[in-house]
Amino acid sequence: MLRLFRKKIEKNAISKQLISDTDFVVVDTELTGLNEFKDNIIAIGAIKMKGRTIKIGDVFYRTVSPSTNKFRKESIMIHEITPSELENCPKIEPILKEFKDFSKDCIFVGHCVDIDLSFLKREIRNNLKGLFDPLGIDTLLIYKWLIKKGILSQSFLNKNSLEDIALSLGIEARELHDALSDAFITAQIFQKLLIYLSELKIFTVGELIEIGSIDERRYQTIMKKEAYQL
Amino acid sequence: MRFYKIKLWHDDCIFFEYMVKIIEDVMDFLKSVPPFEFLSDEVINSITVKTSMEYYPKGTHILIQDGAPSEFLYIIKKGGVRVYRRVENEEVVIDYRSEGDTFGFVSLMSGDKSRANVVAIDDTICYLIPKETISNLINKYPEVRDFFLRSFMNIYLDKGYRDDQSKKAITYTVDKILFTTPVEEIATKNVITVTENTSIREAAKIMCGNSISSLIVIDNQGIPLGIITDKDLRKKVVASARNVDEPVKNIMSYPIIKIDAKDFCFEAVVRMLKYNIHHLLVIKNGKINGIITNHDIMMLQGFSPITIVRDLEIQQTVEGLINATKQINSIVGNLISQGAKASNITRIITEINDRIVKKVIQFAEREFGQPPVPYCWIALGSEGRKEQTFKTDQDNALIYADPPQAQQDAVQKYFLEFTGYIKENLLKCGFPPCPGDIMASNPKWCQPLKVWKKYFSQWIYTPKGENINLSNIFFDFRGIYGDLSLEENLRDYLLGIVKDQKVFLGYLANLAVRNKPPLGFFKTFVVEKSGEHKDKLNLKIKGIAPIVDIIRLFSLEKSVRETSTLERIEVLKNKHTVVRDYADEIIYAFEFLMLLRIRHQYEQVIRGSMPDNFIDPESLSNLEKKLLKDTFQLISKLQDILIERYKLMII
Repeated sequence: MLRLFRKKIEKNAISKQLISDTDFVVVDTELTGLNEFKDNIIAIGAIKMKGRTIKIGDVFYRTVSPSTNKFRKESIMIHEITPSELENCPKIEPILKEFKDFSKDCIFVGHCVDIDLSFLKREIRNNLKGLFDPLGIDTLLIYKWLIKKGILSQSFLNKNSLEDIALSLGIEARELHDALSDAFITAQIFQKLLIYLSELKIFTVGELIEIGSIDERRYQTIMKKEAYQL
Repeated sequence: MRFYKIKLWHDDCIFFEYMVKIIEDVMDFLKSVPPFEFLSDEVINSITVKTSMEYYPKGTHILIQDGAPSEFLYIIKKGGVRVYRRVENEEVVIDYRSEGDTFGFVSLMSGDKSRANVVAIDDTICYLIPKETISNLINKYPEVRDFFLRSFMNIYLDKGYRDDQSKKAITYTVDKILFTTPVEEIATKNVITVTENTSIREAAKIMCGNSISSLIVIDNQGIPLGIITDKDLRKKVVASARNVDEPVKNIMSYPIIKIDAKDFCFEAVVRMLKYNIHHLLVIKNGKINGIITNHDIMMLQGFSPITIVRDLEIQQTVEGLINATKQINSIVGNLISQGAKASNITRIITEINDRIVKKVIQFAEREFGQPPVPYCWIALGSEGRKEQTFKTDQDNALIYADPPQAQQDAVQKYFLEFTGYIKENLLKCGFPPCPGDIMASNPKWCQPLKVWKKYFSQWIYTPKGENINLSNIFFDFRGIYGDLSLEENLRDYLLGIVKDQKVFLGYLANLAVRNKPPLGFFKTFVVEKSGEHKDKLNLKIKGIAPIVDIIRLFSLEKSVRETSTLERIEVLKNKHTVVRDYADEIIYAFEFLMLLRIRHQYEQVIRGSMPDNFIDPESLSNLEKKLLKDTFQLISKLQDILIERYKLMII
């Protein structure tokens, strides 16, 4: 309750801020699956933006050692990776800490970012102490909203995957693979979507949150995402 | 977002190698862009991490003329921009830049307001490198500094540095300065005028006292009449022992050629070439603003096309000419790298070639004595249209005044020896003979005026086969040397008889639509299907010739006297509805095709191969491909209009 209240204050403070002055971190995680209880993060990719500017040099990419046995077994079976090799892969705690520092004071942006955030929150809660509850902006929601407004073509309505959306906006998506490349594609999508928003005279973070924040709709979106099978 | 239940572990253990994939992509791109290509991976990496990426939808103004200074060096990753200046409500395009090109440097380094507008002409992605990073590079790496300073010339920097640099400027090839610097920026502002009745002695005193090399002579209303220069004092006073009490009007050079302060320096070069002078009076808002000299232009860029013209003028032998002509390629190369428009390049080439031809003809006159009757040397085809690129075949003919009956044979004999000499010597200067023998040395094309009239009327009244082709070559004739009234006379005759000859014009129309531009170009690659030029596009036949042919047809129809395609279009704007509607597009398309051709041929010349018209579409940038596509669409539209207008005639 208290936390929610605090977040509301933060939101109010930031809502007047101009999008062009705002720091964003565009994030993508690779997961072992969609089950929030059983599955794990295996990679985090992120790139920073200031307003519409993508900062090529401000990137983050780490793969982590997964903790579920189920995943281990499958991997070993298929890739014949020995347990000792697995030991060489880094542990999650320092990576999470590093990532927390990297993304400090940024608004999170992602393609269905709520999934990434829910996993990140759980991992941070389990592994680190301290609060982690950033604002999240979902590029898919903005995309859909622009279709509804008639700014983007109705024919894009059935596009949900990152790749399809990128292609529909004329962004090259041939490197879609690791979390960082996907975050970079998402950043380019966000860049274009912000231009469409600016044409509608949408310049403040408050308005952006109205359109793209997943906070209020978390539970529906998770279900929705399962259906999209991203 | 991806879920890698299976695949990931494998990648995971090599993650260090691809963790910076994005950065590697940018590095790879920068490595292909000068001057970054000179730098080590380590340095490029350090640049890349400071780089940001912006997206500009088509139509976005990225930099605004007289707006805030640029904070970044912009490198175009995808798309393209137009750089232009607005001068008194007129848009002057300075350049088009596309993938791999940069902009924003000058304003970045000088901290001055941006000198030009930069607008995205396509959806454009740019990499932005911050000012500080660029400054560091320039301080640390001489190759980067040289590149940028060369590119953007040094008038933007402080004067001390400029003086130091200008000595090296002669080897620089990438400045665009002639086309971006208004005359007023380099003109000498210190203009002193004297009235026409001032004595020579007094004028010379004023010049010495003010350390200037010229004075403007005005009448009592203050209207400039002429100019006195050092040269006038030397040649007309000292050398001829003239009385220094005479008024300056006796020795001044006139008329005085003016140029507007806002005109770019290139225009000044062209005027100096055209009038064979070295001083121009700079006018601003109707008032004298300064003087610009050949020397100012030399100082600006370290070379001047005017210099070669002077070199040609002083030659007294063909051997001397041959040496002087060797500079042409480097001049053209300079103009190309300065981002000159094709029409500007061909204007310069035409001026230079015309002078070579005139010079050779003068040598012939010296060799064979004064001609028995007046004559006029005419250029044909592309030379007639002033659209020559690199040295092309000789296409010329000679008209002489109708001689008295008794002298006919003797006159013909004189001119055949005369033209034979010219042909041989033009060959020595690098103009190969015309394979079709369309040259003044061919007796058929060295004829008195009355025979020329007979030829023209035959071709027009019996427009069959060869006659149509000859019309296309000969009707672009242009007088180069001799008695130009002969040329005028023949043109009056031509324009008088041709305009109502519907059948003839129909044949020309037929020829103009014969070669369809390859519209499916970028899907199906309608290019040469076989032979040496397989998969290449013939720019001349598919693009340039259709425009030239259509405009020639309209010109003959509307009695236009001009011979160059662009000049014809200017006149036709007010005479021909089709041209009125499409003039700007046609001019643009024509400039673009010509520039592609010149650049292609220049590359060939540099490599030492024979220039041709076959370009490889794959070698074009995306922007060029797009422009080429637009151009072909325009040509196709014009051909459709032609078919509609002349439908009865087209077979």
